[in-house]
Amino acid sequence: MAISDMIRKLRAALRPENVLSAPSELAVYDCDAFTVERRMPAAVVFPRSAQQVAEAVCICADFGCPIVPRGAGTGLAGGCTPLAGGVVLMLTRMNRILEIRLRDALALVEPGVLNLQLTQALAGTGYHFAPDPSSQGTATIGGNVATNAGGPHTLKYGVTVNHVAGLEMVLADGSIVEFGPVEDPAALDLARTVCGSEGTLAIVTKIWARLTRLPQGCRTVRATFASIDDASQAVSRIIAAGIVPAALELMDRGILDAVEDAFSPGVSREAAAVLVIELDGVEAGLDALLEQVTAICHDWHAAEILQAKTAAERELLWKCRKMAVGAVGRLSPCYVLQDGVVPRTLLPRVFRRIHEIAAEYKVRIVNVAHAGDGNVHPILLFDPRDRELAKRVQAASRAVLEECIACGGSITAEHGVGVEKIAFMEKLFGPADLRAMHNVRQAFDPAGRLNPGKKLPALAAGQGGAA
Amino acid sequence: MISPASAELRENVLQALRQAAPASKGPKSPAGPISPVTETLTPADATVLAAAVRQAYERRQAVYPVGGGTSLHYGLPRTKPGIALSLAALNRVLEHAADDLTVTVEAGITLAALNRRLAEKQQRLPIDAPEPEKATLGGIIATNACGPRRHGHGTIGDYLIGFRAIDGRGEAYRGGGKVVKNVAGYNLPRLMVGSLGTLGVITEATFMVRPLPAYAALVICDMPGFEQAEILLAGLGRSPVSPVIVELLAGPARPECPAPTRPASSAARLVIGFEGTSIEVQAMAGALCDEWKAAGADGLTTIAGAGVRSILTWLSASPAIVQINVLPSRLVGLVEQFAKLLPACPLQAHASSGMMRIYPPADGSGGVTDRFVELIRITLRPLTAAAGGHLTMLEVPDGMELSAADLWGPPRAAAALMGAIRQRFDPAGILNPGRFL
Repeated sequence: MAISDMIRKLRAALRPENVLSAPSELAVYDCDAFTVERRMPAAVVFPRSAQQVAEAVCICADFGCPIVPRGAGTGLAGGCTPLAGGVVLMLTRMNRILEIRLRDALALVEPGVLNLQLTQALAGTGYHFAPDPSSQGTATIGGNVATNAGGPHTLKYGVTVNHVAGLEMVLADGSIVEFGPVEDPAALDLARTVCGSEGTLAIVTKIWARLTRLPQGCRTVRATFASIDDASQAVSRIIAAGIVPAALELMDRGILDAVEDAFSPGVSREAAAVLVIELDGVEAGLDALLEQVTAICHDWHAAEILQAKTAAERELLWKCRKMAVGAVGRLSPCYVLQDGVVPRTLLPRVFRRIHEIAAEYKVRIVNVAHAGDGNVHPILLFDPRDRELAKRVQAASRAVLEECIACGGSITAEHGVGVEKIAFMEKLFGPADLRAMHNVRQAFDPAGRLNPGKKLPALAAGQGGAA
Repeated sequence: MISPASAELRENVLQALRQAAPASKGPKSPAGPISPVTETLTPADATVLAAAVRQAYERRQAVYPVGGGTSLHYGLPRTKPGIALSLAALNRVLEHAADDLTVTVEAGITLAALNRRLAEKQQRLPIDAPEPEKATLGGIIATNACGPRRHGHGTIGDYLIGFRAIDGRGEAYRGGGKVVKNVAGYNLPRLMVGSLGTLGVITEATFMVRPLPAYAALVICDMPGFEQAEILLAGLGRSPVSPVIVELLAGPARPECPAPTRPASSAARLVIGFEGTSIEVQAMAGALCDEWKAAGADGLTTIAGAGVRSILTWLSASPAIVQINVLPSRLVGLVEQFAKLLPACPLQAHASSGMMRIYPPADGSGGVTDRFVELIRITLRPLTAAAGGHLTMLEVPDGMELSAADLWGPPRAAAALMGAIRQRFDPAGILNPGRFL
């Protein structure tokens, strides 16, 4: 059966205006924010309901066609690249907040609702949706679920999976199933298993988001350090002291220069590194906690510790972190924003190694990090016209991930495996571990049609599942 | 790692095992006279354990993993002949990376033993489970056991960042890792939580841990009716205080209650707990008392210091016979109905999590009787379903003939998918067969 037959059926089921198939319309769906690999899909569809998702899934199944679910396309690991062609299933028009139940601290949302849109809808209620990836203004909650997204405040509040109480999803056979929001001891926790599965297990069509009370008070400080080593030692000591800040963010000189040039948040040009530290909780305990944190920063030779006195000052202190990635454009036309994670005590080691890698590969690297989680985001700068440099960036990028593995860490903390890191899975996991993951995938999607070529490397011959 | 050792070698290993741990009928009585368990093995390490599972796989014998033996009555009774595998010898802390706030343990360590060890570095795993001196971390993961502190601290799945397990063919695998934030691969740790041993025998687990709080306090409020309980609980969601415990008690008190006796006029009692520095805790307990007084509550008691621990232990320690899960907003109404229907049974709810537990009758009339099962079928389960919830029987006495529907309720929509997952981890269906999925 021809692709054109499939597109005709999709148009009939979803209405013609919800199906794109002209090459000019498809071009922007050939990749997400990971632009290194691209492929045009055969069609892009915009379902409006779980029922339409199910219909699209069934039609694709009849034609043996791969399906790539997609939200805003802000993913950095190529999770939405239609590697095998097929149909891109856009969930952005399923964007309604269906229900807010404050008594139960839950909201029921469709996957295309933007992360920030939910928190804005909660304004004045005393609640918010805690996961706060830097892309929260454009990223969808469905995408947050797919990647199990994090953000600065996940240090204290946890990542997306900690804030999902239930999911409705369309399975590979077109059936619609619901899990939660009531806990069910008679079932496997498939809702949370699907969190972080990057569209390879099911297509999420509704999310029961758990809402979090806003803290009573917060203290935000920005501390400057004479070396990245001192700053990362301070991070390790804060965690080791048993303090769990709401956020503990690090930036190095390279990124600070870009931010300062672009937005002038007023960070000393002398500083080699900056920490943005936020403590929150019961008002009564915060000053004592802040004293402990500033003492540790002083122990590691902090030059300047600036505390926000007002909401506006807090915003200013955060500015250098929140605008960081946006300012990178001032440094180079292109960059790779890497995502790795190490045990927090090894932050000084991993930053030293990143520094060495930059020298070894002759690549400029600037750093931001969710340091409190041990989550580093080195940004490798390049001009794609310089082919040699682009190659060195890829090699340096791999060297950073290898160091994360050597530290006992992981190759991705919050961006996902996508297509970018698939080759690294075999360095992190043994054959039996990967087989266990394939067990899950094959049970959900026996024909392998949901986002093929992502998340897991294909099983080598003779390593078939148990079935 | 299990090399494809010869059958002879495995037989030798198993022989050695039997000498080290002579066959017995399980840790307590649960195996009982009608138990299909032919012997209990206590492997010394994960390699030997894997060999035992592999042999059982080859012989198509059932494998019943046993931790502390606190939940052996959970799930359908064991019927298929096979072996019990005790994790008792796998009870070490393998690595406490105190400065990273992580710990890696063998699965047979008890929650109490782990927390004693963590306390040496002023840390803890801040979850509760019934009978913490016996309950093992492997068992807590398998059953998703939880307790009063789940309001503030969540459940075991919020702390489990990695594990190792032996699948139904005797092969070792792992999921997750040792870092606190990790999306490489599927979230297998979340899949293991509550899987009741059907996807593998857990041998090792890595958890995030948290600092020990310096101070704790409880605010106790007795109420003449349930209406007021709902008002106070709903108000808590708007209050700036952030408790870690939100418990609702009704019906007769469980035995050995160390808290002040409930007055005869009390239909329900709320127990709100705070942890943190003494300044934080005192500020929050004080603020809550002020709020509640303003809302018309009287009979408020605040307990701080040494008294807190014994009440906390009592709140989390004893095993229940039935568990109900509903949305928090439906909970109080259901507790009220159940209190009327079961006047002899202590009821306790993790109110903000929508979880209610029914304890064996305080009048000594026994736990799960035929009459009680009938009451569940005809009244309690339909009431729970009408409130959008699930009712689960946690205890099935030996010899009582109950169906899966009696224990778990009607079959779930995704049963086929769950079965398919299980089948791939355990192709011969030997891991805790017939008890859960």
